[in-house]
Amino acid sequence: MPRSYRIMTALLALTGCISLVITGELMPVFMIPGLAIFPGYYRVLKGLEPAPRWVIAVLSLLTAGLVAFDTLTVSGDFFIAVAHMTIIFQALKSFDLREPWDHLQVYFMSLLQLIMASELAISMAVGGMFVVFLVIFVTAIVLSHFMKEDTLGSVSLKRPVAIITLAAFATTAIFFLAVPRARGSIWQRKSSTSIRAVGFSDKVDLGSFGRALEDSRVVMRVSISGPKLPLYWRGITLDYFDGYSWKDTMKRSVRVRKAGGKFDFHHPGSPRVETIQKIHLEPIDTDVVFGLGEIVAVEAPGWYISRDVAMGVKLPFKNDRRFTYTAYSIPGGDLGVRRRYTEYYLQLPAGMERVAALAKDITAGAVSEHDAARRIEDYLKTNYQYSLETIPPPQGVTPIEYFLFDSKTGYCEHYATSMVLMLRSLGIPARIVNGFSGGEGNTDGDYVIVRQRDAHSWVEAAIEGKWVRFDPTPPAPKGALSSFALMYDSIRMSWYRYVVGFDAADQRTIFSSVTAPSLTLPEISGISLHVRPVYLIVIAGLLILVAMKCLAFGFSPKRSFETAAYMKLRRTIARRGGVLKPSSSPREVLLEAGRLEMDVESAYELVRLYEDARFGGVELGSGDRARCRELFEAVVKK
Amino acid sequence: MASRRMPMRLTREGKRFLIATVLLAFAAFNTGNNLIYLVLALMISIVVISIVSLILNTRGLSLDISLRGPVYAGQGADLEVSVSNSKRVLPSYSLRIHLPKGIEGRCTIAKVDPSSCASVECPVVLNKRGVYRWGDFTLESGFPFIFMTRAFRVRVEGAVVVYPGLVEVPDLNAYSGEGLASFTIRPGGGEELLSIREFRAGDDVRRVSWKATAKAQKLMVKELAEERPRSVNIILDDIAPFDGRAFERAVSYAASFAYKLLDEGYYVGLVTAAKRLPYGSGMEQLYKILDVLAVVRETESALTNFESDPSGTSVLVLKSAASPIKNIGADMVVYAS
Repeated sequence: MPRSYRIMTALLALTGCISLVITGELMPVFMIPGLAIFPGYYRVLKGLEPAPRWVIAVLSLLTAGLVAFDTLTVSGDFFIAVAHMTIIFQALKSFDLREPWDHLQVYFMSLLQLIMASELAISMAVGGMFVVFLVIFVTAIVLSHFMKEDTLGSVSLKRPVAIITLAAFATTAIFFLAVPRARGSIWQRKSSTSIRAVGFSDKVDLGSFGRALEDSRVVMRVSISGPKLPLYWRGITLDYFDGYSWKDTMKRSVRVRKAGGKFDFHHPGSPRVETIQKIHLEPIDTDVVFGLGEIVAVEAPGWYISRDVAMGVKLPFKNDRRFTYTAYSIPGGDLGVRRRYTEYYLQLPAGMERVAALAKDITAGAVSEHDAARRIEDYLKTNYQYSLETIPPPQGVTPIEYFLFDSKTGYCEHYATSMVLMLRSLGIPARIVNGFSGGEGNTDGDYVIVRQRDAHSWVEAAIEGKWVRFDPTPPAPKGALSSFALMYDSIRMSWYRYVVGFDAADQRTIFSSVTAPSLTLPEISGISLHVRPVYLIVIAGLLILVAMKCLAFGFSPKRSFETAAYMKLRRTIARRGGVLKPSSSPREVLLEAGRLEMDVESAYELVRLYEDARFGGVELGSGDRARCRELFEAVVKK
Repeated sequence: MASRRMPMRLTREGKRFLIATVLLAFAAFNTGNNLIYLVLALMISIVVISIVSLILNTRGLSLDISLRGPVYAGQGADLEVSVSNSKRVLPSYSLRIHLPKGIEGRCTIAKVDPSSCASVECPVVLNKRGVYRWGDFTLESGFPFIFMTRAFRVRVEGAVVVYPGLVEVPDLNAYSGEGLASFTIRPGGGEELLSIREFRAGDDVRRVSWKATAKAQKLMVKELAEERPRSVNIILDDIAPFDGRAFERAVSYAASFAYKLLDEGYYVGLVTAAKRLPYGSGMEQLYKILDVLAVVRETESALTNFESDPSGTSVLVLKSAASPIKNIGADMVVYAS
């Protein structure tokens, strides 16, 4: 078997295995047998004999048993167990390559590994492996074809392989954009890499945010368009506090069905100017839809969406994989208060007398509820220290009392809870809101990076018929990313946005931009152009046709040097006044040369060389080439 | 030359690849994972590239064939296959030429450059003697991958005469007690003295042996020897009772005897039920005999006289001992069965 063919098989097998390994989902202990792939392919490349069939059969059976054991007891995941198995099988196959069909099995196995890797991780590294796989796979199956035809090595394959690979890239891109997007969700594998969300469930223990605030993993990347809004990514609201944890006891929500491709919550009279947030959410084990302020519409997959009385929006499923949705928010829109639910937001746990007294002290002299709330906010912001290092309260003391009167150190949950309790003690309905605040703007891609450490709690108080946001937490120190890290994140964002997050809406956008009535091109020298994109495609097609025609001429067999010299001689004679027709024979050419008193002897020798080569089957060498040149120069000089 | 395109055909690998593509489409739909859509796009693109490449690769091709030298049934011959590519830009790769029924062989051309022609000599075997009309050649390509093939049939006009296969034949000397020398020595105008005999009217006086005349006391002349090729008439048993297999063997024997004898310098004639070829020598006579033997068929009765020609040695090639012409008085009888 040709060496190039064996090399391709080895590369493809390695590409498949590496694709799986870089997902980081496999267990190293199961990858150890896979290391046998290296000696296996070393033997293949050296042309050594394959291992005995019975050895391969026994080891294959053992591997199958290992998969069962892996699924049932070790990884507990059939998908991962099969991924482990493919790596071991690739190693086994490297010792069992006998026929071309064995090589094809390796190709198919590598393809399977790439597919599995795509399901296990959607990082850019897997994308990179896809590109490598495409090049090697296309090359390998072209080589397989020539191998099958027994003509491998008889023609140079560099050019066809290069052209086919480029064509494969182009058509893959086209089909990627064109294949209709859908999500059937008949069987889903649960992602084990999703970020464990804290603070977005129906019960949140006080202090649970602490660990999350040290986690710098990206939760979402958001492109924002429309009017600017403060970056408070609202998640859920909680109404009941028992002294140690917050709960959602209202549990009142309505299901909203999709209309016109959106879940629309607009109420009559609400402004139509919206801040649009395209949110690329990382796998996070919550069903909460995050958005700025009051979300009035959501564009997301699914049949329905839930919206509770506190304007919190939830998906019908937990989002354990990367997911993109669009949230529409009303700028500056204070959330309306529904009076029948305000009593829920006045609940206080027992033993809050000291807290109530403190609230009274702080708000003494306040002229309004808003003024009172602002005073509490300022008080907490200025008299307490932000720290993630909190000390547990002594026995019998609630965490909030300990925070307010003893430690005076805490993080957002402590501040927000304290403020809610103080407002409630003053008879102002208040609730705690968990979500994310801020984020890091990335100018490279014009989007905001929100991380787990941006998780935040703040307060909403019902003042003058509206829910007003207060944030009593002093700013926490946060490290900024370097410009290189921002650029890298921007590339990742593009990857997630245009490859991983490409969806049916993007397809519609592309389609509508192609079929749109007209497209305004960038202004050049003050001239603005409006062109129908369809025309651009037609023009591009015509240009391609012209290019192909030019190529056709370019690729037509080249004239040999003697023919070129003869034609040059004809042109020279014609230029000097000789009468030559296209049908003039070499003899007539010589006669004309004589008439023009050119060096006929040299011309005769040149014509003879041409005739010998062209019609006599004489093969001319490099010496003849030089002679042709000399003769032509001699003819021309005279 | 007429050509007819045939539908594209999926290979075994192609069927599996297509099944894998359908399964992957299901997986992509199920998961909504864009990276799986990406792999799906790659697989679809490979299918599309296969189809487009096959169409382009097999476009603008024409086929020409010719045979080198005489062709004997069941024996190797060189078939020269030329494929011309009239496309101006694109070369055609990996063209397989399937030969029509009755010709065994395999022919592959790795590349035909644009506006060019590529030839290849294919060793082929034509199994049956007779006039073989070329018929449909199939030009097939699977380039660039291994998943599909596309073919078109090319009807090639013309025919080739396939001579009977040559076999090892018994040495005719074994049949003749005196041996069957290729030349017979007869009185004539040679150089060597054959005998001295009494003068007859008409003898050239210059050949009178005066010494012998003196001894014998009558006019004696020298008779000179002349070497003449011996004539062998091959008689082929091609009449009833019919026995196809034995007949084919008999035809091969007859052809092989003719080949061997003519090669050794004999004058060889052929007698069949329908045709009598007079004696002749050399390659021209061989091909005359082979032409007759290429198309000879068994018949009910003879149109010619099978009786031995007294001017030459007759070799009767019989299908079996049951042949009605076994007693025609041939010098030698060879059984093909």
